[in-house]
Amino acid sequence: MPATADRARPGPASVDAFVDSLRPHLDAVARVARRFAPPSDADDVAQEALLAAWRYRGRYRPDRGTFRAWLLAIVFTESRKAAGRRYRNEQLLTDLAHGLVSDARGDGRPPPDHEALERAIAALSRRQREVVGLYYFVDLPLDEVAAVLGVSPGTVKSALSEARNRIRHLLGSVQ
Amino acid sequence: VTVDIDDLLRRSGEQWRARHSAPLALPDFEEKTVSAPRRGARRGFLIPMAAAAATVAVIAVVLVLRAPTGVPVAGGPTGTGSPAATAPGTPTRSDVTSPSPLPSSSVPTSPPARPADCAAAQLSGSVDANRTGTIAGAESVVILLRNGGPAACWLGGVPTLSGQTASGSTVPLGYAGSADPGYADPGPAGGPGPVAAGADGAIHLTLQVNNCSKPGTRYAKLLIQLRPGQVVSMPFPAELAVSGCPGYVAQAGPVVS
Repeated sequence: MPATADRARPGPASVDAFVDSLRPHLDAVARVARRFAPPSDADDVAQEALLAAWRYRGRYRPDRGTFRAWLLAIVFTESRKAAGRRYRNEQLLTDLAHGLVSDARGDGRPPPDHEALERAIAALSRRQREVVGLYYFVDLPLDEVAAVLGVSPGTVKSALSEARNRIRHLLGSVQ
Repeated sequence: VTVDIDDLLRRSGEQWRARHSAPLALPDFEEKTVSAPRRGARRGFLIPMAAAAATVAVIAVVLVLRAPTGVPVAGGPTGTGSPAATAPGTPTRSDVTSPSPLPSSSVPTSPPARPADCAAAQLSGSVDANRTGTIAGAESVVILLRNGGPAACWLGGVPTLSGQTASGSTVPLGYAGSADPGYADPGPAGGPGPVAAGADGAIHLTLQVNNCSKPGTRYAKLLIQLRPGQVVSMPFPAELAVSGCPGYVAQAGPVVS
């Protein structure tokens, strides 16, 4: 039944076609993994997520969203799982320290504002950290943040607003 | 000093992207689709694959046991093929983002037995020093609840916390409880679930340190009320006395390892 088979596997059928469909989104894929996976494993996590996307390409449904959002949701999920394993197996504070140290590489020292801001972000709730990371750092538009997290754009706006308020409070500044 | 947080975040995001702009190498899709998964993937896929295999085995046993003698089992060698059957090569593992349920229309479903709720008497509390500390002015505290009973017990729900003075009077500590992980991070707790005998459950809570002018109080004991009549008592952690501004307490649950 060709029609059924087509519906069951609407994603790119060949490796070449799949890779072609990936290329425009590789920067975003890398940024999601590098933002949410443990720093030492980020690129491995991204590659594993791409392989998972290839294996499950038949599950992509164009009527439910863009290929980019579907792909980034897989990368995000795998990154969060990897970070969760690391969180449980090691120490959160050690990870944060490593993240800051690795950020400092290249120019010697992290910018003071950046360090304080990252620490404030680390003190946010998980949902707030996720929307801040996807919106400000990965640089996704609001609707893509919502699609990746599986929530409404209104929820993202609300979480962003709460996160900004809390960061403002944590940094001790008054607008 | 007035700081535009939105502008600060945008500038920080730009700087972060500039530092993380190295191109991502593509995996070898041809090789990986026929060879064993990478080491990292093997760890990640082993548990769900084993669980899926065990589930299928249980379903098969149930079907065989319930099938009348002489009646072919659905999907068996003499069947004509189930509509849910997958083509060769089609992945059978659940989707990463939207797991598909196993066919259950012909299988009597019986939820896994849930152990009895944890009784306060079988739990002993302690602070998880490895996961406790101050970040950007917020103290993050993880309290472990070890199941000292002879069998697994069920741990869940948002506890209420009180301090007990040396004279025995109790004072509510005022932590805002939430079961929403988006607002009260459960930390190492994996949501409600069974805690094996000898294993740990956990409660994650936060309190504000910066911008808090109220001094903390060092009570003699911390009382953790899991539900009415079930209160775990433990020495009051010094970490909870660093300020008088309690934040959130998240839902209790077994530590996910």
